[in-house]
Amino acid sequence: MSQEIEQNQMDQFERLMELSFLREKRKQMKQLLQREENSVQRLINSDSEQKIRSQRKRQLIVFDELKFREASQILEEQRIEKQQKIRKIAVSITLIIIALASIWLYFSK
Amino acid sequence: MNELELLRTNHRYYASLYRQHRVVVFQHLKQFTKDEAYLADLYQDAIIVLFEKAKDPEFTLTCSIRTYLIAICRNQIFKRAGRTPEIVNIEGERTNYNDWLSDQLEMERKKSQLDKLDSVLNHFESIAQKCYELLYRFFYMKESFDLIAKVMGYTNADNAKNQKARCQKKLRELYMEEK
Repeated sequence: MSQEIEQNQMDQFERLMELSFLREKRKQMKQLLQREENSVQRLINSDSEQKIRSQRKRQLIVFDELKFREASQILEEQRIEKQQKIRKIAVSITLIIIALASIWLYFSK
Repeated sequence: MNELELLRTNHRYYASLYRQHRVVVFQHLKQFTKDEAYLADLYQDAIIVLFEKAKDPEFTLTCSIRTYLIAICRNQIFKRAGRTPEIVNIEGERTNYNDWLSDQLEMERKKSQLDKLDSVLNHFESIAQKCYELLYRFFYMKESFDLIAKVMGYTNADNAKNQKARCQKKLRELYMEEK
């Protein structure tokens, strides 16, 4: 019974965590959209459209800004890095073989 | 590439989307209220709903995005006015936007608990960075245990899952200690 209560409390806490991160995400998105709205408002009451455009370019931020880089992106980069490393090793081995073969040929003559 | 795909792939597309439909959506909603700040608030919520939905690869729309945004705004107006929402059919939408709304209401109900958890999380981020990263990846970025394990150097998904449970327990203890 106490185990059931404990599990129930853990589930409630998990839900609270979900909500906490979701709230943070929505708050962040709302702020960015509000910034967009302010920029539109300024444009409506605008003095100089060009000035605002350049200002907007500077302010434009990724909507879903994350504290950590996406795992898929990191793994993709690691994969490419690994491929490049393998390619480099293969090229080095080939060059060494060619060099050794040339030396061997030279001395065998 | 349609707008939904653009929203999925281009993280900066939200700004174009916001501007593109703003005038028509506002015009449509002005029959209910002329308060621009209120309309902007509704419209922003609708964009957030769409953005969250777009993350789900199963989510498809047969109506235009503009129709979808208007439908959500209309439903929101009725909800906020405390009336049963007029059922606006969102053609082609398989999922219901009400789950977004129920999360929102739950957040309002649990505001004090969430504020407390936020401050604990801030502290937790500074004392247990790796744990925080794991929880952030799982809850905020919605990454799978498999991906988390690969990127954070755990041997497998089960290991990452166990680590998540340990981190969560640690965080809960801090949360319970906090007055």
